[in-house]
Amino acid sequence: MSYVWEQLATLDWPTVQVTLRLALWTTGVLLVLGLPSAWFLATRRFPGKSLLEAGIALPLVLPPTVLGFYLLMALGPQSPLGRWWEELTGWRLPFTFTGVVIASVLANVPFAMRPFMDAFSGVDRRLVEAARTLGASSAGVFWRVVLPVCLPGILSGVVLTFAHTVGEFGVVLMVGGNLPGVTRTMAIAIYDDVQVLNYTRASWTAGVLLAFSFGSLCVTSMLGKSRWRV
Amino acid sequence: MTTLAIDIHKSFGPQVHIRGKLDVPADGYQVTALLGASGSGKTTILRCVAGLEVPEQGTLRLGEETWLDTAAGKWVPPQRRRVGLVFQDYALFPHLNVERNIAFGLHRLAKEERRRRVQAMLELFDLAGLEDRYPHQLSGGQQQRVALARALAPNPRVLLLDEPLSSLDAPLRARLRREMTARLARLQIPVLWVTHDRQEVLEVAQHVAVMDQGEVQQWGPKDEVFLRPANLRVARIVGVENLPRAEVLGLKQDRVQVQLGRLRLHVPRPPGLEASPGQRVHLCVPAGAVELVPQGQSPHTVRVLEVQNRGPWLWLRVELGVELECQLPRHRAAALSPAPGMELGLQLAAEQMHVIAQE
Repeated sequence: MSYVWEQLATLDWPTVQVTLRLALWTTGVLLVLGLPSAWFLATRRFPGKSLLEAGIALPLVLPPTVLGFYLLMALGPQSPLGRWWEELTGWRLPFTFTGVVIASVLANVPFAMRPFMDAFSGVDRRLVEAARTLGASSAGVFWRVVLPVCLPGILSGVVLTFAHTVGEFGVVLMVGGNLPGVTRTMAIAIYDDVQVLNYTRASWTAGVLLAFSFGSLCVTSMLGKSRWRV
Repeated sequence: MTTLAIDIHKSFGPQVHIRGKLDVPADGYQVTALLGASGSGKTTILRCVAGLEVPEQGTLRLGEETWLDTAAGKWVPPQRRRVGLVFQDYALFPHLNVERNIAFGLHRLAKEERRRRVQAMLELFDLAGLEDRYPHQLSGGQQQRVALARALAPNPRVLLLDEPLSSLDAPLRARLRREMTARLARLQIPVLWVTHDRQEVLEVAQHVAVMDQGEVQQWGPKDEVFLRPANLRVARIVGVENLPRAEVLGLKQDRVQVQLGRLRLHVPRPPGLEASPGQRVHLCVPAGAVELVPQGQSPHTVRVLEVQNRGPWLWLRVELGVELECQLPRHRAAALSPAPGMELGLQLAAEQMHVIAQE
């Protein structure tokens, strides 16, 4: 057991810290922005809805380097968006932690939005209607009925997003580069270690990521089974 | 006298139109049944009353209060109507236990008052001991009682029931029907009860509205609608056994003389009926208005066409120029021992018959 601890101690801890910070920020932003958008998408019909849904799913199939490339172009000083940001704040987005968070949020949209939307659209319409005849306002219906009934689906979106961000590689590398303690994540560290033939540390980092990813999927699978039964 | 006055038009696309016009008496415990086949639009009417559907046109008023008036642009949302609604499959909140389900509509009350109300409902609906159970841990009958308790806890002014017993087994249904009406009577609440089951209407309702093809065809006191249907469609829905054609021979103040097969009858004249001699009409002849007696005890004879054993009853089809269905209780049947081809005497209760002008 002490051997395990010794080996874990040799991990690149600033990198682990960056990875966890990135995952927390990404998950947090997607929770705040994603829940209302998913509610909107699940309950409204409007022209162009299928296009928007396809756009949301795009990061699932797009190579991360492609997404990363476009983001680098969009956030960089050559683009109007990048110039506007630079004028506003005095600094650039590429190769900063903030830039990586923006990129990571976009890359993770489907991992958060899909479970949220599935949960919301799975809510029995009659529960909402029953709540309204019992005097609940629209906000009351959302907080007292929709959200608790959807909680397992929302949690599984949160876990998936967090786990997927922890393993993020391509998008982060394209937009953030590989700055130790700033934008280097665990997945990038494995690649670096292999480049310099440090297989021992690479295998321990990889092992930690494997265990974490498997654990996360176990959690989402359990959440999937704990849907409320009637 | 308070009434819930419904006069609405709701459409789903260009093909489907639901029109409902009826008054629901809303003083104390009175059941108004909305009777019709599935797809006839009765649930839509109920949902419009609850405020869950918005009609394109019309008005909805409970007493002095207006819930909907499309001409004036007025619409009151469901949460401000104070109606209780029980869905066909109850729609209990799966994440709340029995106690919290019942307390859902009481969130604006003080804690003490809320507890008192929940307690009263638990007692009235015989749910004590089940407070901590979740909906999936309850039987169908228990779920139904929780749904009623939840709808009634906030003291609604009208209770709307959408086929409240149809998801239960038949033997349980009959018993729950009696228990349920007894409880509702204690709460003195007016009820609008959607059903496709005319037996249910006969047992629970004082008033009935009959729906067919998206329209309320007739509404009024139960006896009026069941004994004097306004048209053939209503007559079929309320289950009049015989609707033979007859010919008008003459009209009097309150009587119509008609020729029914080989028989001449004087039947009551419905108010407003105008018909000239020779005109064809339909006659509502309930099975209960047809009496078979031994031949010779009546000047009229019929020929038996078909006999079916239906348990305590014998069902017969007889012929007197037209065909009629009728029933005989077993003890009477033994004396007559009817068989196909046999001739029997006939007595008709003309008072129970009703004339429907042809459409």
